[in-house]
Amino acid sequence: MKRRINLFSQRIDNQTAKRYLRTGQRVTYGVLLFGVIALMVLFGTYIFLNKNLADLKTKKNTYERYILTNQSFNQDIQNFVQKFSLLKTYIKTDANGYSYYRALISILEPAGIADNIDTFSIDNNQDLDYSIKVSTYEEGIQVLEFFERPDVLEHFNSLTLESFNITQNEVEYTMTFNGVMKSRK
Amino acid sequence: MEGVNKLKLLISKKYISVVLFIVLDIVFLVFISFLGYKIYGIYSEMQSLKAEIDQLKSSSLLIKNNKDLLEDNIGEYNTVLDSIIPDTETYFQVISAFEQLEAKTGVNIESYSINLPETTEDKMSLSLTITGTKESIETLFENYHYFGGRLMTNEKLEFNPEGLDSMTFLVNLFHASTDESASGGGSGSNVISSDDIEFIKQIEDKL
Repeated sequence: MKRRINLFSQRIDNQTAKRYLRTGQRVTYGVLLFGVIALMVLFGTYIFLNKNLADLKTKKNTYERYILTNQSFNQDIQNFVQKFSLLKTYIKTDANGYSYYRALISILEPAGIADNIDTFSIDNNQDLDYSIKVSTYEEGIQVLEFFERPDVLEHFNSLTLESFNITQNEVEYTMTFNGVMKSRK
Repeated sequence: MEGVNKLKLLISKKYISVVLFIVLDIVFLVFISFLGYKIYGIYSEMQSLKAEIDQLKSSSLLIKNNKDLLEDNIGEYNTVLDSIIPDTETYFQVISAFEQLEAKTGVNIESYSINLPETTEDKMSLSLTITGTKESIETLFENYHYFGGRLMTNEKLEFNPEGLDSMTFLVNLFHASTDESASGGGSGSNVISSDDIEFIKQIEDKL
């Protein structure tokens, strides 16, 4: 039996194989080139970072030696700074109310009503409530006029008359004010 | 037939070179990965070192900036601070503070109760029932901050000037343990001024 070879099909296979090999070769060359470049870059980075790391270690050692030399003072100053900053924080929450009371007294003195304060309350935001008691209606009106004066109002961020009451039996007029005093801190 | 052999030879030659290159690529990629891993390790170490250095630098600056002013008397100042803000709070310390407050102002603390809603981890809020003369209560109003040998604050003052012989007075007492972890954490920008020292000395005089 005569054997036949299909030359066309073999050529196609050979060409495909060659093409794959060529592509494979190109890809491997490309990968290798990328590898070489990447390796160079990474190696450079490695050396650079290693040098930086050594510098940082030296720096750390220098600071550690300084702190070690002053170890006792370091502990003391850390304690001092911590407690002192707490002290300042806590003090800020204090109303310092009595100094504001005295300030209110000095504001009221020119009107002669410093002794007429009936109730007084102030918090650490300088939110103020106080009442003034007088025995006549005219005095009450004078007090109201006094609190409308600009030189009096400049001591307050805000001030409003909350109520004006009369006690029938004792004939007393009570004015209750609330507002915010200017900070003295 | 000869053509086919040539082709086979060519393929085998190219095949070997491709295989060799693939192996070389793999070696390179493995080495790159290894180097990348090492670089990441160094980078991480650098970051943690930088954080440590920042803390050490801060401590060093804190020492450097304050050594001249504080070195001689810092122990004394710390004693003052530790007494007004002690590390821990005990019942007896509170009682002792109130006794000192009574002795120095002349008021009588009839009773006290804890304001639980206002009390926190480092703050004990108490409501004191006080009796005394007008003068003694005014002395209390002016000096309650340190006369008890402790820092005391009052967040809201409320009274009736006419009936100033008995009242309720709110005070807060504070305590805070010296934080060991804060060692090295003090900001280097903290510079204690001579005014601060004067302030501590004024407190010391009142204790």
